[in-house]
Amino acid sequence: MKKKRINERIREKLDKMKDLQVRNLLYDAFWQEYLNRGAKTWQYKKKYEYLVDKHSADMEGS
Amino acid sequence: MRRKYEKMRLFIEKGTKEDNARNKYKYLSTRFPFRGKENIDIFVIAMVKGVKGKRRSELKGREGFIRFNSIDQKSMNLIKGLAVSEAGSLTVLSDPEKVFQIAEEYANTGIHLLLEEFRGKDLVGEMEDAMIDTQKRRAPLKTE
Amino acid sequence: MFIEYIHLKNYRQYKEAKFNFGNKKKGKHIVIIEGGNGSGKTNLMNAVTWCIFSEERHIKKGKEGLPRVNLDMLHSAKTNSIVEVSVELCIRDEEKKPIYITRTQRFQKKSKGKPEIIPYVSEYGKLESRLTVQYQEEKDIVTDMNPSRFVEQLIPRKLSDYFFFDGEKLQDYFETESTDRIKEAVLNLSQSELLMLVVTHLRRTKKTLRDKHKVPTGELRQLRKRVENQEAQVDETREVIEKLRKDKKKAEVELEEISAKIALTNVESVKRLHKERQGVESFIEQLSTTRDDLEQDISELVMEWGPIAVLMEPIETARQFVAEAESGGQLPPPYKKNLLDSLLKNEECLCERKLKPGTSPYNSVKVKRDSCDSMTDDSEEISRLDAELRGVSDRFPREYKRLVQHKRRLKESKDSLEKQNEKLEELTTLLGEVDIEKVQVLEKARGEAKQLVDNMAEQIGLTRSRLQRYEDDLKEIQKQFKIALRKDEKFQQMADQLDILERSEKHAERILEEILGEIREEVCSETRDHFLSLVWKSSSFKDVNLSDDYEVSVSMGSSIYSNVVGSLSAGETQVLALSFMAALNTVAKAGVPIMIDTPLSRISKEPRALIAEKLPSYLKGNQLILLMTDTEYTDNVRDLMSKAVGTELRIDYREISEDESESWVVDYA
Repeated sequence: MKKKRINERIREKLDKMKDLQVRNLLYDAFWQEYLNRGAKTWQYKKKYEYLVDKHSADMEGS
Repeated sequence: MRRKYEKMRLFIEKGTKEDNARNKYKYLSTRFPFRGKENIDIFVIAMVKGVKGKRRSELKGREGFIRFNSIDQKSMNLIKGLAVSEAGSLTVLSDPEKVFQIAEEYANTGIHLLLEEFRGKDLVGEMEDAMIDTQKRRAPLKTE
Repeated sequence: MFIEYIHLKNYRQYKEAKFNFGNKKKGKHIVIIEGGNGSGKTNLMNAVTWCIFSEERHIKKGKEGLPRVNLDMLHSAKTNSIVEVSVELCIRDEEKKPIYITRTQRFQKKSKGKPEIIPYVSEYGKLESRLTVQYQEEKDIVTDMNPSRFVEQLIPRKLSDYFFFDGEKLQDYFETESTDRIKEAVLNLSQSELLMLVVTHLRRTKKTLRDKHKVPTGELRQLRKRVENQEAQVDETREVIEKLRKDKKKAEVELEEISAKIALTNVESVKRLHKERQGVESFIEQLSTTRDDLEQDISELVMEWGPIAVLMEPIETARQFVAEAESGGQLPPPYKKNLLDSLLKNEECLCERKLKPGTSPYNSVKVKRDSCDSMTDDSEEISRLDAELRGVSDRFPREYKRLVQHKRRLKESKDSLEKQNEKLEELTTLLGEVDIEKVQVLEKARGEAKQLVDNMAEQIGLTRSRLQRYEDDLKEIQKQFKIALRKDEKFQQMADQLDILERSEKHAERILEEILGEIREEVCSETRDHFLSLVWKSSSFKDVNLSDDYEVSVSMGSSIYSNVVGSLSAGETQVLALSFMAALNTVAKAGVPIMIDTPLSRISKEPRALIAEKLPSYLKGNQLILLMTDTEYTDNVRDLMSKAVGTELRIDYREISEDESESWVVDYA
């Protein structure tokens, strides 16, 4: 993930987050938005559902 | 000494599903001037209202509401001070249950008083008047 | 990111022109392109925006009808043959790797009349112009499959106003209608709009997830319905607020226009009265803010110390008991109960004498122990309590004094406010009585417009507090729903997923709010710093402010606070706009190249030198391409800027006919 492309300010705030599950999800979600900026339509629902699945499976019970 | 209080909590009246103290606290927490404030802050105001009205009422059925850890030092001092004055002696401090009971009973009356036609601005005005009255009483010449 | 070269072919008056800026050298981030009026500076900028955004924003008046293709080439071409217009940009990214962006368009010469644009056929259908993006990947040059998306990611369209702009249009920056655009620019620069999309998409995914599962009838289904309804209510209310805001903005713009008309009437008394009235209105705004702040401070103070005031008597009583115990010798206690307890238990005295139960020494210790009350054990707690209560009691008079001071200031503000409101009425009445029909009509319109704005403001306030209550209720219902979900094993996973969605949404919203607040603050202070350091009358301008809505205001340092943005000179507005631009860029930490057409045109000699001197330190992280006339780029200006200038080019041209000219690039020297 080309973290460098994400605006520094946003990166800082995300890095500070203590809720790791949420942090990782937001990083992924944000990156998806970045990649799809300018796209006329994109299947965000599917993508987000996948992200939720992925990140709620990590750290079960945290 | 702290250990006495550690497992304790402040209780409120259980009431019925529709009409209970917990709902009243919840309601107040969304309105000015309680927005963003903790339950203990609202409790102290309720307690003070009861003291002003000079009425305390026993809790009919109770539920735990505020844990000891959520009570800040300032509020604790006020609760203890009130208890000592009410009980007429310092020995009440060795009985934390009694100390809390006094606070709870005043708050019990107070929470109902608060909600009789609650208007945030009026409450603020009341508190302001209380400050003025107290200052007058303590230093009648210095009050402007 | 910086532009390495711009290559034009058959683009308007440019048959063949390559503007080569070379590699960006450290500290030399400025490119100067000098050209006289009509030489083609503006069209150079048009070429760049056309290439990137397929838009030419700065076509000169009267020349809109001219086709994009070079007329000379067209004339010398055979009928029905095609002349291709091409603009190629070579951009180097953060890693200095080249990106080639090319847009081409084909024109077919007709026997009579205008040339026809021959579209390109692609999988997307017919395209009027074709965009190609190529970049380096390892050792190869790769063609991107989705060029418009690539470009949009590189330089978002919405930002084009803020990176390619016409120095002469800078005043438009600060008009009310621009604020939304400015706000958008900031959002885009900081990628905050992406964050907003994250929030929106999280919400929608949450809804989809909830609706996807078949929940059994009864409590769960009911709760889900309630959540849905409450969410719908929150969304609806948010939309209402948005619409009200837009309507209010429109009303404000109208009000401004009417005000401007009044200010321009040729009647001295009207002009004077109107100006005075505007000053009073600004003052009223400031006073209202002060009043609100004071009311807030008072209520906070009073909610903290009011309870203490009510409990002061019990506090004093309690302290009285302590004082009595102290004077009675019970505090501090002569011995502690638990010490005596342990002596009796261990059957040994402090002096190591044995204490046998039943013996007289044992009994005398026991008697002392039995006469102890709890105060002996609690003595430390009591002392501490007493000390803290004393602290509170001692501090009370100070807090009371603060209350009195706040109240006095509040009264002063309110009195002032009343006076100013009276004055406002007076002025408005006077203006309404002016016996000129035009003025009367305008005044009436103004009154109505102002009333409309005030009404909308009130409505927005009411709707906002309604929204807050709805949001609180929503949180509560969401909580109940999740609790109910977890009762059933089947829905554990759904509850977990909803949970993570809600947490993510909350955090994303929080981050967004923080960022927007921080950015606004920083843009404001950067603009202020730049502006005040640049502006030559810095003694009279005291402050620059940026409202929540990104409205820029400048105030003079007198007791009458008034937003003078509308009455700044052209040069001052230019400086303000440049300061603002610089602030936006610094704060957004975006490294997009900036192109400005005639940045110094409105500025007279003296301040020009000052700006030339300071400009290089602005926007240090960005490549700054300045298109200037020779009147702007004087020897003096050149000297002052030389340290930061990496490339100097000039546009030479010759006129062919009234509509036609030919331009080309030469080295400056």
